[in-house]
Amino acid sequence: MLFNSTVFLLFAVLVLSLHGVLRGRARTYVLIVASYVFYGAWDVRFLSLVLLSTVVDYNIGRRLMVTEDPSRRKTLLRWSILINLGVLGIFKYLGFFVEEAVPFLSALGLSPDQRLLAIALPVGISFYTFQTMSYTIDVYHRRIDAETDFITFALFVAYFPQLVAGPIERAGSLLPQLRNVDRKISRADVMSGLQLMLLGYFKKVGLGDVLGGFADSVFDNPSEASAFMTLLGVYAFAFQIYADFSGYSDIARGVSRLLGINLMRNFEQPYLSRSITEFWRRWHVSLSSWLRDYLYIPLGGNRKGRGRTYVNLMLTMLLGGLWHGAGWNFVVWGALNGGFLATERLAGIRDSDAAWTLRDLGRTVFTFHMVCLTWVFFRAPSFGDATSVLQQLGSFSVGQIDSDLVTFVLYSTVALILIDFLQRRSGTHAFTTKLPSSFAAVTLAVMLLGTISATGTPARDFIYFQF
Amino acid sequence: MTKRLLSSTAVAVLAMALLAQIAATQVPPPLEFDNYEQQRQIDRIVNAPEGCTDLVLAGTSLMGAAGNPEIVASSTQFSVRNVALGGGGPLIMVPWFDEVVEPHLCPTTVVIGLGPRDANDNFVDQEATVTRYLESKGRPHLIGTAGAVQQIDRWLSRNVGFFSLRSAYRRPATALAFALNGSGNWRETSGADGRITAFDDIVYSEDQAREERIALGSMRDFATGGRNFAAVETLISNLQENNVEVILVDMPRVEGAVDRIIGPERIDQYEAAMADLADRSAIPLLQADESLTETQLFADEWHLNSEGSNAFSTWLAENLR
Repeated sequence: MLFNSTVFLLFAVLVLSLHGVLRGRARTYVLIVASYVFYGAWDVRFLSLVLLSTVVDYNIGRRLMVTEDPSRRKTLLRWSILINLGVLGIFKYLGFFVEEAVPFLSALGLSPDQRLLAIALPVGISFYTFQTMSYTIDVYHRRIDAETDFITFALFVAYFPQLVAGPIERAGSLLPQLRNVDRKISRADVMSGLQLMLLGYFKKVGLGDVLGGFADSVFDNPSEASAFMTLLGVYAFAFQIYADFSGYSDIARGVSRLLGINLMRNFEQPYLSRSITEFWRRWHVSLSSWLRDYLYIPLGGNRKGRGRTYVNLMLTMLLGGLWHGAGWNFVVWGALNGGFLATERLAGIRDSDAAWTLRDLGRTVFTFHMVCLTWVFFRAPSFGDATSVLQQLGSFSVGQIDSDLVTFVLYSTVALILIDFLQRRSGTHAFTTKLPSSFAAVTLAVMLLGTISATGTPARDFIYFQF
Repeated sequence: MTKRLLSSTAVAVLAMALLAQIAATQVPPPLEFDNYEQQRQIDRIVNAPEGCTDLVLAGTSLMGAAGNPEIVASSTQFSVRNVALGGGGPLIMVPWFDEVVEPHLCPTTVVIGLGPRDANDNFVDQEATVTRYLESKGRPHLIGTAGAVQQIDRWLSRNVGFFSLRSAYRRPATALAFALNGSGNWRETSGADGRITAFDDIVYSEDQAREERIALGSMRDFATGGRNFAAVETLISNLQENNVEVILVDMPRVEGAVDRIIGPERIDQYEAAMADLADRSAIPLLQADESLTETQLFADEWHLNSEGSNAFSTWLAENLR
């Protein structure tokens, strides 16, 4: 059930209506049933994996609360991680490793079972697995108490607005809100929720999907476009993935706000970053902060000397790359980001909270192009295709120009950067709530019309669903 | 504050709706099929006057540019239409006839024109063209399977400005060029009789760079006698089952250029495959004679210009008689 489908809109209206008329525990039941229906609509079989994560981490969390013996606590934590990563490994990575091992196995006269190569990837598995793992780790470190109510915990794992593509919520933030689903929903919640949804649909349907068509035309035939068109194709993808993923997050946050639950911000105007370090504080915040808190810091972070810091950065980004999928292009993508982060640290470039000024333009444009370079490996179907794209870029040819691509990339750039500026200036993602009403009205009308005008072709999946 | 914002937004939406309604009159309605030529060809066929057509000229843009229904009709006294599909290939001709041509024109004779350009089994774009047609928004309406949501969607597309601007939104530069001076990809490139007119005023001149592009593009790894001919054979067989007479035509081409692009051996393979197909299907195969090889009749290596179209249509009518 895609957010950008008529079925989802009907589903959301039904869930919001039931949530609005019911009170108390009934709301929790509505949300858990809705979440399972939402997930089951993709493939009902994979609900069993969500339930497995739920049962395992609920029970281990409760045992961790009552167990004092450190070695036994550690064993419980290891079991949780082993089971969660085991499921993730089987469904996400086994096929890749078996495929990579084929030449070796063939040399030994063995051939892998074809069923191992064809294991389907359950939608959203990386998101909810990381979410439940962080819960157990937090309980283990006694940062939070274990959840005692099974239904509430099940809702924490399966909460439909963020189940399949995040934000990857922390238990410390989401669980207390899920325990209190009976809270009154204010007019401000409704207004900002609706505006976030509209913003998300505009980004996803009105910008991302159209840009996706242009990016596909370049990346699907990397050797046929000129350098200029390839560059525009790379820009198209850079803005597509931002519009697509941040659009999803906005819709998720908007729907959730209408249910009275605040989800974390997943994007903080990443393309206004002045360094790759700053970019990673602003891009897919829920994952980058997860990797920082549960991987980089436990590895030692920057506390064990300079050399070890660089190794930790590389390891964290490599695993961040692999989190997206089993493929060499994601490994290279992670390695490039790790390399950039390490280089910036070596060069003394630090993350900064200082306000963005026009003097930052050069660094921002440079950072954007470094990010674009990494996107080539992220988007290209294979490592070979990524090299073809880079070769085309190096040819400096102009060739035939698709004026529609030029125009739409320009329009999307202006729209997204303007949205980012307004969000940063207003301090809220639902920035229209802070604008003068006439300006807000025109902005909302433009987003509504942009969304409507871009409908009419089959809905495209959200890019991050595949992870 | 909320009330004021809502009322201001409503006013802004209404104002923009009005502008969209005006803008929508300047561009064609949203695309329901693969491209505007396909959409127009379908509209013309579906809206053709009631009754069957004696003879239809079928194929790709080669026949689309070459076959002039008026000339053929005046010589043969048949009613004639050109139903060729520009940008298509043999693979799409089976659903095209099943869903568009036969139900609406019920022809008694079909002339299928093919050239080596249509016969490369390794040209992947042909499969993509079929997929795009089968998945097009207009197809459920064409074959009568459109549901209520699709009907509402079409109504909105045709009557409400925002929805009418769907294609324009996705192709802003094309839409602007069309609105300002009727140019660009959306202009009419075929006449009411279905003949493609885009090549009419062009005269062929040898161009080595273009030949290289074709050799590396649609003619890359040229191989023939496989899926394309299988599709044409299926089409012929379906037509024969419906008692439709079929005639195959090997379309004229600039021999020297095509030899350079594909190679003479592969041309021989193509010609042998055409002859085999005609034999197996027990249908006549017409081969363009030498009068149709003069380069001034062509717009490029394969497509005839208006002079070529007149010559070809006269030749075809004589042979049909």
